[in-house]
Amino acid sequence: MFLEILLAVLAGLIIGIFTGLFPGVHINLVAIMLVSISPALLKFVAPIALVSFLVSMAITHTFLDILPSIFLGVPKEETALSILPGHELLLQGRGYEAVRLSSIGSLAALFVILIISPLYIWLLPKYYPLFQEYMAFILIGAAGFLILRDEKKFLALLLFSLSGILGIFTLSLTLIKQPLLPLLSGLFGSSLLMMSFIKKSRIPRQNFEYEEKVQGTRGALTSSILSGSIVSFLPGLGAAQGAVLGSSFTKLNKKAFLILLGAVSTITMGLGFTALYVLSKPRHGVAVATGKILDYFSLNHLLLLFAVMLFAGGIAFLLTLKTAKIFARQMSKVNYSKLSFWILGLIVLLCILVSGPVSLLVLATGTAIGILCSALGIRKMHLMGCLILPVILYFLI
Amino acid sequence: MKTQALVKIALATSLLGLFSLYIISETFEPKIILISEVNEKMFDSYVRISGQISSARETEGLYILQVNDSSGKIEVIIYKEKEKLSFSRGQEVEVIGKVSEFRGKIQLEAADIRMMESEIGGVGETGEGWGELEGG
Repeated sequence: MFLEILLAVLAGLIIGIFTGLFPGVHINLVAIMLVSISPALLKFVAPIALVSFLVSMAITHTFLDILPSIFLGVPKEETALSILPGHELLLQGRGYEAVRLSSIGSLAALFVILIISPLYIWLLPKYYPLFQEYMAFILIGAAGFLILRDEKKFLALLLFSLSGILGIFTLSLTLIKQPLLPLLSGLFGSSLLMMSFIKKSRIPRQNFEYEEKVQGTRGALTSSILSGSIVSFLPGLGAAQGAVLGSSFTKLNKKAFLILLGAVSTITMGLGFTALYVLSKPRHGVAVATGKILDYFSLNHLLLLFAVMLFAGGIAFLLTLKTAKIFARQMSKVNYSKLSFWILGLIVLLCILVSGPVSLLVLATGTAIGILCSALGIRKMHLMGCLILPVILYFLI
Repeated sequence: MKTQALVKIALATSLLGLFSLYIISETFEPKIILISEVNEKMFDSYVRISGQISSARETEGLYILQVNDSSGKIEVIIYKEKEKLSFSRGQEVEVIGKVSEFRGKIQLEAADIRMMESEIGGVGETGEGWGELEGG
């Protein structure tokens, strides 16, 4: 059994690298595929080995998915907000440091998951209904606080609203598959790539230096613990909303913000399994698949999955840094303006293939809103209205 | 390009795009297909079926309906929200739902459901009997 689980974890690591690095490939897709072939697989493999594969893949993914976001400007849901601070560091020749910061956040998150899970198991059944009741108001408060803290309050509100309306229309369109792909790629990715293309940006030679002690690390981790814990058990919320919520707790510089993003992403994924154990309700795609493969999710299962997370996370941390070095070495050699053009073409192609032709309208509208945000000098954080506003409506209505 | 011109173009494109998406979301919905036509190639896509409820049960977080038409039957999953719904056997329904799979069986995760004969349990409180069941 041990060997079976170990092999499953290693397979999960390999697939997690693939889902993390390639734009448009989501772990939920792999999870759904695995569930659909699980009746055949379960004749040869134990259910817990299949679940170990999923957990290993999911945790590895949360480490690696920062790379396309920072180096290529192609975001995934969990990393959309990392594009701007990450890109700023990339333009200063510090792309490797940006990846390293997010990975440190993710690594710290693994230990956070272990430490706070007992507390979570104890408190969650008591406070779950309360949070569910007031979540809309918590999110309105967090978004409102971030808008009011901005120097250009009206413009921040305008962009929050435009992206929110885009999110509502996109998520309600039955013509589009995987609606987050065109939505987030437009708002956060292609808008930045268009600006790079227009400005003919050049990526300077990347160095591998990094700051040993980043100011605000403690604040970033504390905020990520609070926000990650909250969003991991509530329906409709994920790492992106967690990052917005976490940013409203404390003011962070861009480096600390990258730590927060890495940490929230991994905490949300990891605590999703603790939530599955406590509430018997899955809160993300991988937990849904876990619930479908295992008939009964026990404390022993949870403890084993924690061990898988630590093992896979430790290896994923090293793999991420290694891969970031390869990316960083190659980036300064390429013509970034041309690369931006080709990546834009790739995003368009992915949207057509994965989400259907109507998604191009979402992509174009998102790109226009993203460019508007950059041209007006407003923080891209407010564009998370695309996910926050639909969730607020979900909880209110 | 000057920033002011860029702002104007981006704002106009954003508003035009939002307006177009609004029109599309209000106008287009999937064509009705036979239940037997729903297959695994449609995973993650939305389809519309019409049929009769042959059984309905309730779990902690879901309503699970069995819907039949002349070509076959399919399970329709409805995620519970604040409003309580009730269904009865023999009721005619139209369902728009996302095709998914559970334990090797194809099912629909309902996005909208319309009671054709009567409006029951608040399902049809919006518009012409369509009830929003899922945010996205």
